[in-house]
Amino acid sequence: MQSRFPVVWWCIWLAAASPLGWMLWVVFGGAHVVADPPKYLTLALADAAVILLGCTLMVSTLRRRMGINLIRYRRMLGLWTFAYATLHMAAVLTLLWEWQDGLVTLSKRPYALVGASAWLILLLLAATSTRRAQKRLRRAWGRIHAWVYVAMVLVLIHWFWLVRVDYTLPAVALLVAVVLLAERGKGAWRRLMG
Amino acid sequence: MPSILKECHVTPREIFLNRRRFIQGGVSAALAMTALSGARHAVADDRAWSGTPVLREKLSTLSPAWERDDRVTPPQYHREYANFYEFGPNKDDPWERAGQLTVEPWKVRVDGLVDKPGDYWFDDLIREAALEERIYRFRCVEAWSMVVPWVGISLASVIKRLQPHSDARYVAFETAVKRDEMPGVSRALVRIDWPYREGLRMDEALHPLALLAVGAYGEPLYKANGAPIRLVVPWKYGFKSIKSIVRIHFTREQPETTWNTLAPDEYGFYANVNPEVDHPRWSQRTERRIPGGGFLGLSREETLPFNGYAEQVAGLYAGMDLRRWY
Ligand code: HEM
Repeated sequence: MQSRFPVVWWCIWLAAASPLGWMLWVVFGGAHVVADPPKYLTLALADAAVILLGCTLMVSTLRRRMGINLIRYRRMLGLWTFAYATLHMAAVLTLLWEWQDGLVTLSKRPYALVGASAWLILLLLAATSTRRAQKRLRRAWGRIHAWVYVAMVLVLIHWFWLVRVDYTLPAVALLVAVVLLAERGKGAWRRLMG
Repeated sequence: MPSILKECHVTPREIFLNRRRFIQGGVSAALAMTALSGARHAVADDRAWSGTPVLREKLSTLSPAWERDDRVTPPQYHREYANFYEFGPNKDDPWERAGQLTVEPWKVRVDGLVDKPGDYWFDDLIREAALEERIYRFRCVEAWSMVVPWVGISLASVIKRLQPHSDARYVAFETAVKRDEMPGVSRALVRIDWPYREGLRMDEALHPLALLAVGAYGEPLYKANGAPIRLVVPWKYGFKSIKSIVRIHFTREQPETTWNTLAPDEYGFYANVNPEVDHPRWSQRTERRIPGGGFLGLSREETLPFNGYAEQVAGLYAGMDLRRWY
């Protein structure tokens, strides 16, 4: 698959990797003033994770509505989503919060538990993303991967729960999510319920 | 008013690219990254405020000690990292956008239960008072902190001059709302009910540590830090230290304050720094000292009761249950 359009594959890979490169440059490059690296990394990683989650979900919409077929790159986008989500979680638990009691803190904060649930779903999807898993799980694979919609909803809850003042960005994300879900109609629900 | 060229502006230095702007490019942000990083706009110099003649005169007689104090946060962090929602929700919005704020002429309305109400020009408020440098720890409720060499006048001296009535038990403050100059005020989907409001109990306001700051680092306040005049209450979380004040109001009842109204379970009216009382969404036990202490900001400092000023201010709260009155 990846050998058919290696240039496109690498372009998308680089685009997905560049936010991470940018963050490392900002924090370690020395050219920028980062007053609060833990906060910066937590939020920038989270933003990258939601954007990539949106991109991953958009792939099938693009194919259905516009005939643009990027399906062969979807797994890569999904894995990058998982990578950013994992780094975001790690940044929260080790940098933003006191690492000694990150997990205790986590258990006391319901909005974080919602984020953790979303992460567990992404973990499951990443773990079953290989071709082999796909073959072995057959029809169940589609049902498992429809859980990405649940993850999306959990992420939105996580986000709305933690915002106190400015709802602009989560509102944009909600709008995108509603459009994507509406476009899929009953299909997503049926797949989820098997 | 010509603005002073600051050394840190003359030195070409790329300023940390705001993560929101990085996101605003939408899904294509990642692809546009190289283009974006090159597109940093030129730095306008109206971020600094040169001060009124009265303030400049007073500043010139001050001999600042902060440069000899290595605990002090370097000035650029103080200027470029601030919460000032009138200019937007991000920490660098004030720095990026407050330049257009006009701070001269500046009037402060004094009203309520007070003998000398009226509109006071900035210069009239500070003319009589003694300007001092106070190096204070500044602890944000979000668990970061700085050490800032403020320059200001004691709040008590101003209050005494205004002569509040004996039944005035609280002092309330309001920040300016200038729609044309404050882009954050007209943002949709922002829950703050402008103007930003804060308040103190009268005995807190009269405490000698409470300061009306008009400068920092030996210079007039930068607009991003609340020029021309702001409150500094070092034993309370930073949101109590209201910026760009246009109204001082004396009342009998506890005033409504912005964050307390917005999320009463998270932000109390008192908001005294207290490591024992967690914010519902994070612990207040430690703090990240700006700029990022050590590798990735991993070294944290213990947060102290009343931000280290317990000896001076704990008496104000004798007999109060600080868990209840957080
Ligand atoms: C154990 C898992 C997680 C924890 C403990 C966690 C914790 C947090 C915390 C503490 C913040 C707020 C930081 C602050 O404002 O100071 C945050 C923000 C956020 N998180 Fe998570 N999170 C988790 C998982 C996730 C996952 C899996 C996603 C999405 C894929 C996600 C997306 C976001 C987003 C979008 C924000 C807001 C970023 C912004 O304001 O720009 N989180 N998370």
